[in-house]
Amino acid sequence: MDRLTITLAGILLTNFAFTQDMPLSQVLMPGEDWELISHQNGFTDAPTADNKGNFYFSDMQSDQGLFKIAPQGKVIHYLKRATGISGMKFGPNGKLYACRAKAREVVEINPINNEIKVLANDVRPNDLVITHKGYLYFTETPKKQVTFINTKTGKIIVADKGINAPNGICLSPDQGTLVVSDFKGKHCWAFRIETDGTLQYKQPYMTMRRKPDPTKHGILPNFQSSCKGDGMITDAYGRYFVATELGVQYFDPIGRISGVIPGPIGIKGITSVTFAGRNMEYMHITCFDKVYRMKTKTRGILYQDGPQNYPPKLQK
Amino acid sequence: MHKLFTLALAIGFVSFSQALDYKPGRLAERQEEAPKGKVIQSKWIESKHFPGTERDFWVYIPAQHDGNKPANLMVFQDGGGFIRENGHTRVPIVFDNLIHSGELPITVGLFVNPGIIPPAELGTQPRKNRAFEYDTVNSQYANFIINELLPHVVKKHRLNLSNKPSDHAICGNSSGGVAAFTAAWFRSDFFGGVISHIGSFTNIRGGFVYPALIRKTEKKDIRILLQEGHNDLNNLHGHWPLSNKQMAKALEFKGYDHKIVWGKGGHSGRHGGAIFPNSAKWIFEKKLKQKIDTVTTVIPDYSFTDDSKIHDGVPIGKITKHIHESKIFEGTKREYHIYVPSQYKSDTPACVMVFQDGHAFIKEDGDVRAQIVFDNLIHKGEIPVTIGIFVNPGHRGDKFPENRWRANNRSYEYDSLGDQYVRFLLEELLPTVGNKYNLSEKAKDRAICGASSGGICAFTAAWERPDAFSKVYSMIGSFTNIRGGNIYPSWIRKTAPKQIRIFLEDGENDLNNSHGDWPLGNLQMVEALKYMNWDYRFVYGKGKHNLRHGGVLLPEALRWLWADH
Repeated sequence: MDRLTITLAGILLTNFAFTQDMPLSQVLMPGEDWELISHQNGFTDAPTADNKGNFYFSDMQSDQGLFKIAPQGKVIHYLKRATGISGMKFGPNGKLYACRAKAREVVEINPINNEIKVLANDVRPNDLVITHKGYLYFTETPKKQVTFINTKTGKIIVADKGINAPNGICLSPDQGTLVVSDFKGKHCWAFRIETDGTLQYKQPYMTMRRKPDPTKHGILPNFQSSCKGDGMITDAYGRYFVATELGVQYFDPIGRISGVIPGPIGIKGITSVTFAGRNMEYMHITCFDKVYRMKTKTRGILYQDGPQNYPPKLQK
Repeated sequence: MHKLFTLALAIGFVSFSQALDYKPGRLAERQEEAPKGKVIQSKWIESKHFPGTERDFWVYIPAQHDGNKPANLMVFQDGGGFIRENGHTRVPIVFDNLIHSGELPITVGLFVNPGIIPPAELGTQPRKNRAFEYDTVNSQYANFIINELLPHVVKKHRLNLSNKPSDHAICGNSSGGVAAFTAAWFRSDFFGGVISHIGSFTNIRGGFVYPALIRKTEKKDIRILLQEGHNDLNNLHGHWPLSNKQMAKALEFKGYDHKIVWGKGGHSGRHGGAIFPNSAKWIFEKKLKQKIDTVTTVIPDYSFTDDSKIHDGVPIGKITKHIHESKIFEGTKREYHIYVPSQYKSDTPACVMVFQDGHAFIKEDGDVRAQIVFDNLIHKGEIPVTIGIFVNPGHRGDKFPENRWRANNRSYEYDSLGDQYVRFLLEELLPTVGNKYNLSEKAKDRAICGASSGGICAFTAAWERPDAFSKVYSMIGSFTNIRGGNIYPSWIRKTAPKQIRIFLEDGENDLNNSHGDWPLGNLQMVEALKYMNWDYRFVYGKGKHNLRHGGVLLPEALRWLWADH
């Protein structure tokens, strides 16, 4: 037995079993395609989910604001007065945290009594995440800034400066790493979240695929400087998904691009991506006036459920 | 759990049986008379080049190093695996033996692990930096070694290192292999030797570009040894054996001192380890003997089948000639021919097939004679009623060139990546033809074909707009780096498959020039299409860069492309 163990260990070491590859065949389900679930909207964004698998999105041009779709249900109105939202997530306390881009504020909405509390005003919020500790990070795209609100203390500080157009924002399943997409650059940037909530060790960890630029020609082809990296989400296996003009791109936990899933033919673009559904198995995308979903082999996670070990254990 | 264990065992044994062929040899065993060098392990935690990372590293200092004579240097990626005396390569033992016997110059070893950014809190995972450091195509890792870690090591151990690049080599396995090449490529002022085992010259983070870069960049003073196994990986990042072949072919094309050692292994360090003593000697050898192989090949005479010959009683379609002035390709003019089969009825939408370099496909005594093939196959009912559009590349100037292949906007239109050419077809040419004829708008009714740059152009059109073209026939396609077309195999492996049916043809004796190697470019395409389960067919002949074989195959290709109709 000892010898066998040593042999197996030797094989693993010599075979470079360092990281699991995550090809599209582990994500795409044969025969499944994009399914239209909402249309005739103005401008959809801010997709998110609750722990019953219900899906929520915002129509930034609608007076109504938010909409909800149950796993097998129809589109219904959700909350009142919650208009102009460009990014939102449920917190661990059941409250909804949202960026109101036009109103230039970040708010906390109590879904039970529809009470809206302003956490930050005179800001330029685009999208946000909130950790199990109540650390809220939001992107301020025009200010090239990521801002941190400690929702426990109310303290607001600049967490990062310098990304061209910080836009989408997400967490690793264990909530130790924060990732921000760049709408006007080629990278998604990784940060380590420190115990006090500050961000450290910024790195251009992921490089997005971009459209070619045939008008410039060198030894190698030129690509456009950005692919409009927008909303982001993670799945239970630690993949990072980002909405781009080429489709939903995803990266494995060590930052290697592993798949590009083009959106449906004829859409104007994809503003964001998230998982929802009874088993969190549906990828949802907001595409300007339309919202689509597609059944996948993977499953999303909810940051409000707290840190997850990943990749998850095999189910019996 | 039990099942999982069995599976692990099965995988283990498959790898093991392959790995058994390769063992560390006699030179990787301790020889008593060889003095043992020193191995010092340390940790590097304050990196400026990779902020926040921590890593282990080891320095091997030969017993013979006395500070008087400058020593050579070899750097190892994933150093922890190379330093182990019971590992796949056992470098300290090999160096002790070879330096003692005088077969290797006095050589210092620097064995470096990839960095990790440790978690801020217990229970969260570290950020692994291996792929970022090793697979990225830039100088960051080389600069980290040369400007950050090495100066510290030299100072701390009072090393006297040679300053000649030819005395500095860098070695690694897998991503560590491509990292070795990257380091030397960007810092050939420092590294003159590369030893890559099962190197990842694939698209983990863009490393597939090297064969193209090598061909189009002034030769650098680097000597390269590649070791690769026929059973190496084929996954989302690429096809390891084909990519190493492309590397070797590019190095050969450019006249680099190089060799590639092929084995039967998979993605394992054992073969590289087994041959390492010879590799280390070779990489520092002062002068190499040049070896030139010449190979003669016999190319068969591809001849037309009956489907490409005129037959009595088969109605003949009508061909008309036109000129188009383009808006998208502003200032260009082009000729095109429309073939309308006699069976066409204006009340029924006809299928469409667009041929690039159209002149070559309808030449009466040419290598393709598509109009005859259409007449025959439509008459027999083997393909639907199809209108052929034979379009030449655009040209700027008053007169078209005598040789129509030489139209001056051809490469820009055909070889460029992106959607501009397909937009030209969909927004300009097809609507113009559609004013006269009833053309189907459905993708399943529309095919696109071309040869050489026209072949990759046809693929690009369908790739960008699978809703407009769902059938492609590429002959001797230029899936090489004329303008970046060698990227498609990498893109295909990491893109949700598109609804395109594709027939590819190429020949073993196709081009090998500064843009790339055509046969390997096509084989990479085929392996990528196969990996992603695309609907494809490939015919690999022996021909050169001409339309003969592809032309002869047109009836077969058309029947197959329209078989789903």
